[in-house]
Amino acid sequence: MKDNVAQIILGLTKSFKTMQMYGMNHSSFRHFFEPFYQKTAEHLRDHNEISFKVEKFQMVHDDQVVYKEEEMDMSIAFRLFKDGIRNISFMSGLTSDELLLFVDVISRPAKDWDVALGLWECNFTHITFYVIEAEEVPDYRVPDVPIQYVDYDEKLKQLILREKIDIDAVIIPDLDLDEVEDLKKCISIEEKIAILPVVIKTLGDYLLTDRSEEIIDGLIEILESCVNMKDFYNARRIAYKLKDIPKINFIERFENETTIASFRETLNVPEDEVFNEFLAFLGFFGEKSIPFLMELMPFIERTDRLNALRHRVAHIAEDNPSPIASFLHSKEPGTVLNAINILGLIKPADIAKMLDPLVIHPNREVRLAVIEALGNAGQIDIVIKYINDPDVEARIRSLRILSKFKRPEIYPVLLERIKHGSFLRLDFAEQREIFSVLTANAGDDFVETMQGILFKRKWFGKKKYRVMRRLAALALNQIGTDESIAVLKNGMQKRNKDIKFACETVLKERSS
Amino acid sequence: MNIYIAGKTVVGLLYPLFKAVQVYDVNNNVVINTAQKFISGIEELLSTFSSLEFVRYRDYVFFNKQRLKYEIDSYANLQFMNTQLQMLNIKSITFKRGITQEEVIDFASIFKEDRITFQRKLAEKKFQHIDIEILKSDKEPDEPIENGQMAKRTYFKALKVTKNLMQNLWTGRPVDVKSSRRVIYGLVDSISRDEFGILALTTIKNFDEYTFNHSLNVGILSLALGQRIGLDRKNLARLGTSGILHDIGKVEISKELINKIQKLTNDEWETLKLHSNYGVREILKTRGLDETSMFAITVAYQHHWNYDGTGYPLREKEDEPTLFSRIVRICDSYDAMTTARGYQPVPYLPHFALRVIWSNQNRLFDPILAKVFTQLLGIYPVGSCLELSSGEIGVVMRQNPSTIDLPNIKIVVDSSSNKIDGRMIDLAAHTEIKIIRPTYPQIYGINPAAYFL
Ligand SMILES: [Fe+2]
Ligand SMILES: [Fe+2]
Repeated sequence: MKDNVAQIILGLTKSFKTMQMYGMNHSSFRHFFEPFYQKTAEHLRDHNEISFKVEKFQMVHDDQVVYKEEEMDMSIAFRLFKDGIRNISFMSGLTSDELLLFVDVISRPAKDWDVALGLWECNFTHITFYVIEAEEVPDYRVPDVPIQYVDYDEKLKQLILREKIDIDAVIIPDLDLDEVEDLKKCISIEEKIAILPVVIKTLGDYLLTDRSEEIIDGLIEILESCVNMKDFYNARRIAYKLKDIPKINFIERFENETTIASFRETLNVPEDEVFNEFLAFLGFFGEKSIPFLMELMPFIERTDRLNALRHRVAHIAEDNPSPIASFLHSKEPGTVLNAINILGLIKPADIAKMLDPLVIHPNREVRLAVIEALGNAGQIDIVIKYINDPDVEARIRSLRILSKFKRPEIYPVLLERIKHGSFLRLDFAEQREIFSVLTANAGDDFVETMQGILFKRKWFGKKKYRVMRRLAALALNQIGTDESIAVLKNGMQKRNKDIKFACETVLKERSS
Repeated sequence: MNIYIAGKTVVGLLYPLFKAVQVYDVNNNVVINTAQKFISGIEELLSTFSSLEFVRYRDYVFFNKQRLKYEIDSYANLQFMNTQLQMLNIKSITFKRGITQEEVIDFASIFKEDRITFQRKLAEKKFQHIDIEILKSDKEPDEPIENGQMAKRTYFKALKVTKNLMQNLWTGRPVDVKSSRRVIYGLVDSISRDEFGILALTTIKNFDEYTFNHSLNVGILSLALGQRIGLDRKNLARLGTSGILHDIGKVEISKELINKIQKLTNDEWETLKLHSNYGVREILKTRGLDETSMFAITVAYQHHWNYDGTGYPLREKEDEPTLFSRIVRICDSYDAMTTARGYQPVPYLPHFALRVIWSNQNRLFDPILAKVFTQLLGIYPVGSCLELSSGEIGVVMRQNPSTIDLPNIKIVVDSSSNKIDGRMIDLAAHTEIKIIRPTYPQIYGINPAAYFL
């Protein structure tokens, strides 16, 4: 056993020195620390504890000096002794982390470092130590009490009167099982819940009566640490309390690239609640933050979250969308998309002007987004340009938007279009959309023209004519006037199978 | 079953056994029944564990090498076990399979004896299934200073630091936070080693420097209550700090107002009440916003909040005081009542103060904490002066953990009204001496605190 203790002390000494020289992450330290822990743990398997008495320059175990070092700076014993530690014990169950922390605490630079305080604040479970205050008890004598008559009964009477208590009440302070459970619950709540919300509430309440600078600074300090910890729930609560206080800008400090870039880790957290708290907190941010928030967007994985963040930013940029517009020229199509989308949400008056240069943007997604944004903003002058877009989806989307608006001037344009031979080469979906827009902007001759297409073989070759009849029937049905329905009913009587079928189909749909 | 719960179970079985043997004859049915219960309990555990070993080291009791924690429902049992082992100088007790009823009763009976008789009888009996190991020396291992002396050092160091802290704040000088952090841990150590030692020092009151002693006393009382309900050391440190700083806001209020003897006007009273708010600010200023400060801030703000929703500063319905604030609420009231002040030249007897707290549970105080506080201080709290049936006057020196109305006392006035340095009496053991009633120490020119120094 003596050997064992000697090895433990050797391990401690070497670990202490290498920790001081190289720090805990260095391999030299590890080289000595691992066996030190092994030896100690081994010893503790057979004993409950190993305990060392600490003297000025030496440590004693079982009445034997096991450590001696008289060089103050180098002496572990002296370091412990000078701060009042007189005994150190390691108990069975000691973990490697505890021992590591212990070595770390005792080997920090001595000046201004109170080893006892350091060890106390570690709250070790398996390391105990005994500290004495070096100071002697002052020569304190309680003041003499002059003999003074006190009328017991009179005092008792006063007490009963003032405190309104039953002086003879039976006192049985035992707790029943429910009370014990209650108390345990209270304690575990106190131990687990963060005190933070209570402090925020307290400081907030304080501000209601007195806008003391220290309190405001305190809240801002907590706010900063919440933002650092990405605790947006509490951050938002603080911001809410500070927002009405004039002349302080508590959010400015966060409106910079570094802070906002650090929010990246929150964008894809699994918990929706956390993300939503984050979004809500962003509600306090101002214009300055826009460029950095825009840079954040490409890192979002989920579309719904991306949309939510776009809404947030749209809200921030509501009064002045120009910072968003500047992103329209970005080389990153993703960023351009975000900018277009946000402008679509804000719907600024000059959105058409802003987006006009993008009509011929080489990226199809960008063009689609422009259509969408302009459509939302009701700016269809540009949307019209897309009906000749090389991309079918772009054309269809623009047509869909156009079908919702009345613009008589596009009627003749589209009419020319369907008469053109190329029309028959289009997808049925697009053909339908074109007819749909045509219907929405129907001119005076609409029914007549449709009737012509339905019944006659005007303009087109025989081969594809079945499709044209169907489209015309659909359009007549869609416009739904008495006149147009009469045409369809008439069509049902025709001998031509295609005409009859087309009219029957739409009228059946109509009646159901 | 885990080791920890098993340990708690055995301690829970031992306590009634020892108690039964103390009160009844060994042939009494109560004794036989508790012994039977003990045997069946430990036989069951011995089907899981090969042996049941208790080791006492310092003030810790280990069961099968696991340290047993003090908790609210096992406090009395464990405390009893710890004191017994310490008194009889026992290092360890191990129970093994095959234990008999006769063995158990014999074993429990010798625990009534003093240390010498115990060791003699132990040598005679030679238990087959119970191993008892005696410590080689009767000193606590490696304790350079005796507990009482240690408690005093800690108390006065803490008082000095508290006084410095408040005076520096008062005069706008920088504050040494490090030393107050250190002092708290000293107090936590002291309380965990011997709660009565340092608790007794809260009887030191100081008329002229009321706030310093009061702050420290509230800190100590809170720590003792916190330990009773089983808070860990980290939380005790937070609680102690909060207790000491609860009235720190008073440094923003003029000394004249604080020490005013006459009845306060309404305006003055409103100003004084603001100390709860100011406390928040002072703690922010001095300590910044570490975790402990956050607890202290809440306590400073809430320590005049009552259990029933009344109190100041005004609050919303759903705001409830935290556990720490409820603890400090009780300890603050108790210390204030038992201290002489300008407007209260004769303070409440500790016994009365305790009754005020008892009667106001649910209204002002958390009822569960009020009960635990009563368990802690007893019916006649430490420092009480008692008139005895012998015609003598005694000062309560420490509680008996198991009998809250029969404390350990020291005779300080003899039956002919002479002040004396008399004997110590355990009233639980000397039932022939009865307590007539508590009395005022002023009548005899006594300051109870003097007996603890
Ligand atoms: Fe107060
Ligand atoms: Fe107070």
